[in-house]
Amino acid sequence: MKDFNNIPDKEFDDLFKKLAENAMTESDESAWDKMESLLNDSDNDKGKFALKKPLIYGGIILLFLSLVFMVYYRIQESNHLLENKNENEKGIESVNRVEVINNEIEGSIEDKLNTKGNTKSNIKTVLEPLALNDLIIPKSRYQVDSDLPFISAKNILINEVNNLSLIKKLGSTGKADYSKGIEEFIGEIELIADKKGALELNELTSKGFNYYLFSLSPNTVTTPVRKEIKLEIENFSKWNVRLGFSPDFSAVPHNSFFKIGHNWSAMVEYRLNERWAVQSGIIKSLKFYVADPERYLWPDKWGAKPDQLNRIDARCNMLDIPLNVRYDFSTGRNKWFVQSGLTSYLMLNEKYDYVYASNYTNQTWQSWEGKTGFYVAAEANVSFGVERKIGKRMTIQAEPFFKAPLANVGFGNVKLITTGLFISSKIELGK
Amino acid sequence: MNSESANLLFLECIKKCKAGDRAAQKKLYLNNYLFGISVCLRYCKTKEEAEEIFNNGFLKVFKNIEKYNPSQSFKNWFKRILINASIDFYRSQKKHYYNQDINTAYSLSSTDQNAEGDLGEKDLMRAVMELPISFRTNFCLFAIDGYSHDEISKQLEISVGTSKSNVSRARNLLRKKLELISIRLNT
Repeated sequence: MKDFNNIPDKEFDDLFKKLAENAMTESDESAWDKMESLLNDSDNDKGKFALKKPLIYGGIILLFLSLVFMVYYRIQESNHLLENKNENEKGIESVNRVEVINNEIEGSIEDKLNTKGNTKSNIKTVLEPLALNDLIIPKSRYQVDSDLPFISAKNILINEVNNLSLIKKLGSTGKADYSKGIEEFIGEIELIADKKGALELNELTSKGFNYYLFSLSPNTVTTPVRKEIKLEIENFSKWNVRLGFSPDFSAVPHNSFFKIGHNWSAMVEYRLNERWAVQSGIIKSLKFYVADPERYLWPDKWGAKPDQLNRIDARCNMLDIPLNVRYDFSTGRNKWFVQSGLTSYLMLNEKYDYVYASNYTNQTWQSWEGKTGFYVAAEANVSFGVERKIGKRMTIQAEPFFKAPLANVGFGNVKLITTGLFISSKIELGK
Repeated sequence: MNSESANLLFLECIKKCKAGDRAAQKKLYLNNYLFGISVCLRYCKTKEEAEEIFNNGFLKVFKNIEKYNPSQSFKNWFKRILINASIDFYRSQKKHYYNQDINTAYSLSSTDQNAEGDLGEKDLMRAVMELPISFRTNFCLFAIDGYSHDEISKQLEISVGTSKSNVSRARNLLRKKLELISIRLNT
């Protein structure tokens, strides 16, 4: 008899190694039947995949083409904005010249108009060039020289008077017969003012002044009009981070909601343009749901599913990894949007409690705890909501969502429906 | 049949398996059944579980048979797949097994009452099978299947220290158990 306590570890291990190599179990003639059925199932799955294949590849190609289109659209838009910006910069130069001139004559304007600050503020509030039509000046308040015939409503006469420009807007259409000292600019001219300035001009008129006094250099007013020029283009930040929270209502179809879980999200959003964005990230999710035995896959190795099994209570801790596309159908301070995408799940911990009828005594399997891995594109999600800007670089958002099952998940292979309301805040990282 | 012709037959069988020939698959499966089941049994609790692991492992064999290099030993390649499948199964059952391990550990002293006859191969293997599953898995991987502690730590997601400790504790439990059986047989 060997003294197992005194043989070296290596010899001890080798003894078991030799035994294991020689150990044989009984053969089982029926074993191949199970294997064959597994192989048949696997072949069927291959067939299903073959059917799905064109759809999957078609989807990928469609997604790729959409991305290419969006990138192309974005580049085109950038080029367009760049062109506008270059033109606007020319406009800014003109504005700057006007401001310099006005600074020089500021005092005399105030003296002549006998009013405080109005002209000064007109000039200083100049931000961007505007088409003449943008100015709101009641025609009735103009004094029209009787010897001047009508000219185009879009034309303006400017009379240089002591370094000031006298501007008169004249009637509708017609040709001008210029009086001495009056310079006509044919065609649409660019008037440097903003809407606020225009209103203040009106105030002057209401105080009995018949002329609008501007200091416009001839170079400025001969600049061709650009009707829809925006000096400041609409800004958006390309990279954004979003943090959010939502209650989680999960359920297996035909089963009621069981208990409220929660979701904490950290998402990164890449904005393709003003309206389109893609986003992904991680949502730490705790889901509770209840499944009836018919919708829960009982493991074969546990034997037959007991008839006395009433329900399965599930508690799943998981990472939800979405890939979404978002479209903003309004812009501005409040943005309404719709969003859709696919959700993958990484199970962190799953716990299932098996609830039996109270009189059932043979409760071999009372619970299972573990994790079953990663489920790619397990759910399709759709959401809509509103986002409101609350600071220079921050927004807050309310987003009801709904997730529909695309695949079975978890130890029990269940289809899971999830809904909730995400409240999140976005921080703009930069352009 | 000499070894050369046996090898040719085996290669022919593999070729047919690659083509999806069901008869060849059956032949390969049955030829390796006893060996495979005995490997799987080292890493699970019941024969049913071993069969499940074995079948899943063999499914992987059939799916990946293109990757098999005939110049290498089929049994070693196949054994590696089975052990990986066993470890996957062990991981998926870890929590549940943990609860069972406690019960098994408590019942160690009582099960040796059943040992009969000389301390033979069956007693030794039964002693291994009665180890708590975590110790048994670690011990089998190290002592029987030749994995290093580093490999085991990665496979079982434990530290190298834990792997060493598990093997050591498994040996101690085995020694105690075999000693008890020996004493009883001598009396």
